[in-house]
Amino acid sequence: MIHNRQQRSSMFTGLLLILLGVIFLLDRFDPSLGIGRLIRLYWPGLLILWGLAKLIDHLAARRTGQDRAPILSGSEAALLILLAVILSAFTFRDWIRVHYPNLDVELPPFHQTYSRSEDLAPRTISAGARVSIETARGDITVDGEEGNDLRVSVTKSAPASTDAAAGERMKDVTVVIEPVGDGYRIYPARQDDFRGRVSVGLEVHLPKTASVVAHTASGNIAATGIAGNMDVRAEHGDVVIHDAGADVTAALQRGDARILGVAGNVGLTGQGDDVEIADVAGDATVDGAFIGSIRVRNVAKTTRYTLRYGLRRLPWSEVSVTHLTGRLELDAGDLALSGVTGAAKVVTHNKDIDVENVAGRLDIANVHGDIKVAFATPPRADVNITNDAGAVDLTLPAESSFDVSAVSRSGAVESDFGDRSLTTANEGDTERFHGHFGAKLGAPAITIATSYGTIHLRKPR
Amino acid sequence: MADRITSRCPCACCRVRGLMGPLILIALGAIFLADQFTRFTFGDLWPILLIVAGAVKCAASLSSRTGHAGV
Repeated sequence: MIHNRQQRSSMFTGLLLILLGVIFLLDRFDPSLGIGRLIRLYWPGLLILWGLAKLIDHLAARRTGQDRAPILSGSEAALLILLAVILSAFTFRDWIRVHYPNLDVELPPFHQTYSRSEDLAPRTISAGARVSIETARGDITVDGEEGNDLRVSVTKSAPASTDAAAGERMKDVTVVIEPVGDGYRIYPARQDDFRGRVSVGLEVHLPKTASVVAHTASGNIAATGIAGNMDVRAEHGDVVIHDAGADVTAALQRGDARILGVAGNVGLTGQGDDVEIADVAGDATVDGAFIGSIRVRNVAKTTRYTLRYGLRRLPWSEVSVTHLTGRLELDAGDLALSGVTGAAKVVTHNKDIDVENVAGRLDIANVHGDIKVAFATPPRADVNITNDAGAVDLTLPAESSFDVSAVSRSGAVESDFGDRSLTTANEGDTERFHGHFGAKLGAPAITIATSYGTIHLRKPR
Repeated sequence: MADRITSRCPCACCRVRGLMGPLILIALGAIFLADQFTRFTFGDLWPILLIVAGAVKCAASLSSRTGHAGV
């Protein structure tokens, strides 16, 4: 019979189609499964499936006496390539989701974000209660108010294809206010559904005497008028705090921080971009990898800025200033400091440094960059400047008195100040300028060392 | 490969393959109904079409071609 000589069609194509369907379905109904990870682990199963399908084909062909199908036909190869592309897309998407959890992979035009708002029933809480506010995704706003009311407004939003579908996703998400110990915990329950994470924004009005802990894994935190301690953590978002009556600690993973008006201490850690801190009655400490522009104004006690990068986490730049009445500004290439009634210490790399009017002891150590220091009134405390590969420019009032020792290797020392006791000496390519100027009593020591740059002692013009 | 398939071919394989169109239409209708009346959308359920097509192909490849009318 001629028909017996025909090739059978393989069942491999059918199995591949079923597999593809099951993967798409599973991905929709249980995102927590992490299809991408499963594919990465179990892809060799595809080879087994291929072999099994061909084995069944072979046995069936033997039974019916027909030729068996080829090991891989053209259409099967095409389908296999398509499958490989789709499986790698899943793997890549899940990788993105793990590393950037806030990116919406479902994007317009098929999906857009719909929102719902609701107010929870207000309740009265005791003065000085500790209120902890958490959301895995969404903004947190905290307002301190008179009275003893705790009021919470909730804004849920989720990407979906229709408003109704979004509503369906948000239906089960409820925000819980739970008494714990000496305070309350406010958090959304069932925020993760079968299609991902619903964003839950919390706007909390509470008695200003409360102390607040706020944490959002993705979103901004804004707090105003809290008299108690504040501890905020925003992993992907900005932090803005106004009028804090006690200590503020903030931890960021990326984003900006603005902390203005704090009666206690400010502590900022983590990493991010721009930082603005102003009007602090206690200490202000910034420690971490904040790599944008740093602006600090008016800190009554000590200002500390430490920049750490990378795995070693050793400080790359350190600035420490007591009684900052003026401002401290840093960005990638520049550091400006002015108006300090206490001491200042600056240790940096690759920065152009501009320092004005430091009343206390001034220490600067830098590498690669120009340093400019100016005093409007005669310095009363020691000045110590070390640079490597850069110029140093020091401006002092004409009536200043000081003991100076300035050394430039492969450079020169120039001085507008002249006196019999001031001498210049050259040893090889090193120029040394030292001696005394003005009144003997209480004259501060000025020590400057650099290389490959000119040291300039100036009088104001 | 001269695998011409006509609706008149009496072999089991071709009869199963003939089910492909109707079954996909039925699945399509069921999915749109589910879209209308349940929380599941077409976007959730469309892979069912792939599974139906794959199942029919598997069944066809396993059924006998004895009496196949194509040449």
